[in-house]
Amino acid sequence: MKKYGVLGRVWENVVITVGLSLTMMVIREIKQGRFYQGHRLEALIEDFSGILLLVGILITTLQLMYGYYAVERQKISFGYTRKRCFLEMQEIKCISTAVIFAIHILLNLRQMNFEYWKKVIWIVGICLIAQSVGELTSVFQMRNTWFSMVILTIVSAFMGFTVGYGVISVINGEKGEGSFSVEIFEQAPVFYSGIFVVGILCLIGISWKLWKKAEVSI
Amino acid sequence: MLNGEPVWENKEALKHIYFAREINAAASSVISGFKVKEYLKIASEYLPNWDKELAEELIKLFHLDKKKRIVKLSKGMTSMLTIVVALASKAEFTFLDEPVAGLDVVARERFYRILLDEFTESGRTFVISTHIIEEAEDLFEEVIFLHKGEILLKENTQELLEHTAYISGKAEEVEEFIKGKQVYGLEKIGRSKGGMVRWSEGEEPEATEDITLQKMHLQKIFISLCGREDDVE
Repeated sequence: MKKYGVLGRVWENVVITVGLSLTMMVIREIKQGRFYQGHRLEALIEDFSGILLLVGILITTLQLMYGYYAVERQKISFGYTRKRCFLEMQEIKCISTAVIFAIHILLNLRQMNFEYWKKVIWIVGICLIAQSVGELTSVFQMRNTWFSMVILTIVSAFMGFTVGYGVISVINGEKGEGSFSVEIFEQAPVFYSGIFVVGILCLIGISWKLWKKAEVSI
Repeated sequence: MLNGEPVWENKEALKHIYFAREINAAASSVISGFKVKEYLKIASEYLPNWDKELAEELIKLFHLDKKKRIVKLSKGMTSMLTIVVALASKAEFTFLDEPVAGLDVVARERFYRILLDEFTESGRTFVISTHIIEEAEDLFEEVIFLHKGEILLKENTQELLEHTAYISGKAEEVEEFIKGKQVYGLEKIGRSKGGMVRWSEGEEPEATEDITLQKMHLQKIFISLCGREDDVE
């Protein structure tokens, strides 16, 4: 298996996601004092599988961006075509997402019902959108290096907001947690599905347009 | 173009070509975080004719530390790494852009020797760009001079050297001698004149009492051609 090939990078994505999720789950359980109380295995698995999805979205997106920034340029300098690089990145996206969600589904076999599947599908959509945005950002930044400062500013602002929100929340006696519900998409499922599909395809199309003529400098 | 086919995004054509450009080891570059062995690993996975044994041999010869990060390598070491990958790629057409930049004279000699050995054994085509023309003179079968993006000259190296000389002597004698010949960089020095003269096969001129003809090195030929291209007569 090539380390920088499709399977190698999918394996890396999955291992990092699972490892990081486990670590975060353990820290969370210890912090909330539940670990020592013999917290039920089912509850642990539920926590873990929830964290797995969020971490999976983050890790696959960051790995994709890193791939375009560092690895793909090397492959092109070694004679790989841009088309082949791009197709492999799409394969990595899809296979990594599929494996991570398959792990999540396997851990939640008892919850198999229509509502559960709807939530999973929405989260898969969010995952693919996030990856495609990351991909477009990375490809755009290759051709316009000033854009990396814009990304840095946005990410820093987001992190600052998150920390600030948590601190204010704790000061006000709350838990300092945030939550996001996918039930918002249930209000107009066809409309939101269409947006997701069109959005993902547009993002991939624009990324390809920028990538296929990209000048590679290493 | 390669065999009549455009090379751009052509998977089959790209298998036969490797372009070795100078590795940017600056901290801000994309590969600065890679270790030498990681860089070689990517090369081995994606260069179809990768010769692992040759790469290992060259790494030992150049005393490169495989565990070192590229950002920690000196300019000479990054040049060596470029050379290792270029030679171990075993590409039919290998382009080396300033391969000896940052190498000391001993390392450069070592590189020229290895390159000649590889050329003799494999018959690969190497296209090398260099500013240290004089040293590489004995290496090139054919030389191409580029100036302001245009090809100034493309000729067999030996023929170029045999049919070019620096002429000097009394101004009137030199003027008489150079009639009908290609002359470059003609300069007046007091009552004498000097410049580069070229002739065709079979026309070899002879020195006289008042005129001296000296063999020129490739570097001097290049300077004469580029520095005074307006002086062609």
